Amino acid sequence: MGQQRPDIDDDTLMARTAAGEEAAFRLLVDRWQHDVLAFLINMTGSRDDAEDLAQETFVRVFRQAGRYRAEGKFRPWVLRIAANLARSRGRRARLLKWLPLDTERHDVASNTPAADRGIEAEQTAQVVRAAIARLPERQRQALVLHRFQGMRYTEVAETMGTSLAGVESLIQRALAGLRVDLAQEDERP
Amino acid sequence: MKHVTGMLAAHLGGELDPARAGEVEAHLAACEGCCAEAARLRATWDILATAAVPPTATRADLWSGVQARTTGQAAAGWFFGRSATARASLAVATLALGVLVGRWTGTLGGTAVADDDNTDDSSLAGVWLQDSTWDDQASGGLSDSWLALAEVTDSRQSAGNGGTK
Repeated sequence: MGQQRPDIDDDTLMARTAAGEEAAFRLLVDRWQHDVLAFLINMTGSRDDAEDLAQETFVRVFRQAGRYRAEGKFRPWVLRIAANLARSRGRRARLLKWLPLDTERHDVASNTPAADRGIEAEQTAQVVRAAIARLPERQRQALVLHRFQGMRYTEVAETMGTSLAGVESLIQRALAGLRVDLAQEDERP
Repeated sequence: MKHVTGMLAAHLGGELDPARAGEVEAHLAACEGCCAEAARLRATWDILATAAVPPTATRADLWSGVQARTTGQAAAGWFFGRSATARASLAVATLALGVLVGRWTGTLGGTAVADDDNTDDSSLAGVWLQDSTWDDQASGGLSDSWLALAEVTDSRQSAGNGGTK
């Protein structure tokens, strides 16, 4: 989630960004960078790719500020840009490189180093990430937005440009698919 | 008895309204198959938490990178900050100027543009657009206008060159 500053809302900052006010744009970046970066890490599995894509996401925000519609929906809008960029990169690469996250460089839960989290827990996490990576693109996106980014179905629908029923179906299929995939993983020697 | 497996993920995520949630609960109490599937999905749902990277766990300072990328686009920002009509006019004017300068310099050289020069302006425009990071959404369909103008110019030049052969 972004750190909301109640004094200046996102729509106002976007209007100021469109007017060329760099400080407003910087506030937006500072406010939403963690959310965007986490989403992209969860989508791509790579900190480096995610950081590059997150920067590009904000470049697009800057570029399209003049055409942003002030409806109080900055978060779905910016995550949609991020998702589109991740999808484009995935297509270009033909295959997402879903590598186990390097927790040292990843800076996740920096107060609890990888060693403390336990090797077994990390191995489990890697298996789960790999299974998520094998999901179809839209199922993965819907699941990540809902389960990892904490979005309600209505927000996921807005972000993905689909219906509530569509989101429900995508997440149901994603979860059922993961269940089967992980069960097969358990059966592997 | 209608099974509820299609609603289990929404139920886990707390996305069902009270009426539908009650319907699912009542069914699970009576249906062994759905109840077992619900337990398996619950386990999957829970294990996902081990793989999540929450926003609060990321350390990020993207500003310097973003600023560097946007500063490089200041000129483009000036251009894209214009209205669609103004951008189209600028594009036409720039292209027209380029054509005029090209013809003028060709005349000064004493010969028309070399017949054996296979350079194709429309191809060049295509390469430029391919390399550009400006997408159609950002450029407001400007790329199509560029290509169309390049094709028109090219066909005119081809017609002109054909007359000198």
